[in-house]
Amino acid sequence: MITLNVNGESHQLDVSPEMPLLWAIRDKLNLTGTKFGCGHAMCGACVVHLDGEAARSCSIMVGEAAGKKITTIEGISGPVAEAVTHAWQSLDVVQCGYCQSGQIMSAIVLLNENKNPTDEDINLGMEGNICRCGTYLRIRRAIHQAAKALA
Amino acid sequence: MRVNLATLPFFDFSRREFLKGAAATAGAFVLGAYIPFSREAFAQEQGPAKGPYDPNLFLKIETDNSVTLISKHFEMGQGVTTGLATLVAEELDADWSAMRFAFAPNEPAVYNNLVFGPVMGTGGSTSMAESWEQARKVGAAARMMFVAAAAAKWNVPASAIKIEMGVISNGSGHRATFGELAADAMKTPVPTEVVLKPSQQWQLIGTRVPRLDSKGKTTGTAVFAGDIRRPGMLTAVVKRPEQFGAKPVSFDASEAKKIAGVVDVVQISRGVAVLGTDTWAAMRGCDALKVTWDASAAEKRSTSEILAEYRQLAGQPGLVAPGRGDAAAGMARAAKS
Repeated sequence: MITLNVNGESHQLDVSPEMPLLWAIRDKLNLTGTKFGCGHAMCGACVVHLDGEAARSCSIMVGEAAGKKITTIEGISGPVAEAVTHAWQSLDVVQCGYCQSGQIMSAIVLLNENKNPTDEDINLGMEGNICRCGTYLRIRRAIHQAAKALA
Repeated sequence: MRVNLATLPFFDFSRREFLKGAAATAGAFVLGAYIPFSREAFAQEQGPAKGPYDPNLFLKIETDNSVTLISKHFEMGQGVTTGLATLVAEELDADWSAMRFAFAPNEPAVYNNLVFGPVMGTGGSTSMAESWEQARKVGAAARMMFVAAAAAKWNVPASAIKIEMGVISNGSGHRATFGELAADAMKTPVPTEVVLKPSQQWQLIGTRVPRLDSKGKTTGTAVFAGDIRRPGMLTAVVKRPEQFGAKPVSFDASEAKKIAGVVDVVQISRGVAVLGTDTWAAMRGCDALKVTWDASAAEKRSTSEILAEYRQLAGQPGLVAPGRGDAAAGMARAAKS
């Protein structure tokens, strides 16, 4: 049995400690907002927060995540998360939407670490999140808008 | 050599059979490979078939005044749920902020793609075009039903009823929201003749409205195909050949089946599927699976060979969809800057 703390709740899971965190979240806890993209930590669709840090859940074992505070897109809260989500909605950032949970999770960490990011900061901070629809310009605009709302 | 999709093992079915097969289990996302079909259908002089417009099939209006469009099309980011809702809301005189969407159940007879039906299908850029008249008629019919219900309830002539932003009134004291009158309205007969708004009166069509799918896609609640969960559902991961078109001859599942959570291994036409109680089990089973492939009918041309063929094909005359008038003569006469 492994105990995972996800979105403030404690869950006992009968899984191998080597199971990637992503599959524990999606298949065992049925929190399907976190997506499977590449499975190799290259695309960012699976980003969650581990103790507030962005982490690629496809490449982190459940055993490593045990004891940490895991937050998924379903569990984000607080002023930064609200500002980011609001900006995403008001600018209609999404198209197909598949990567956007990961984009939002990365954007929250970026804004937690940098209250007023420049275009270049955003490009660097969001570099690991791929969007096949090409919504990058709106993502950048939304992050600026969220930063402004939080200032 | 012309690429003939029909001779490849993946495409050994007629287009219509494929669509029917896909529609039997779920709606179909029609691949770009089938675009010529819809183009032919669009070229028919009489236009696409007429579809049903009974609002009871396409709208759900609830006591909270929300108006839910039942979308016959898949949302893949192209914005079709927003687009279809725009058509309905325009004719219904609904408040855009009250619009929602839900996906239609598997009922091809009702939610038929009017261009390439009778199947439920989304693709080939047909969605808005095939729904253009039907969805507006749904909204207009619903509006007429609200008018009829309000006129009966308030005992006033239908001509006295106004609808604005989802509020029904008669201009002299009576007022009701869609939610308040929905039950009555949906019981009134569906009008046999509906009149659509002239384009000069459009308030939503042609404008930019906020996407209806933004919220779900920014909160992790939007359901993608891979997010569907059913009781007892297994997850299949398919081992596929390295060469497009190769077929499995035999497989050795002994190692795969040793992995906890792997339930079965099944050969399918294009590969071998490992079924697991969760995705990770199926993935590991797939890694452990050994498959022998027959690549005799596989695609063996290189990228540069295929590109060379494309270039050669591009120099040949294309397919003609509609042919009206004399385009060449028109072009010759046209003003040129």
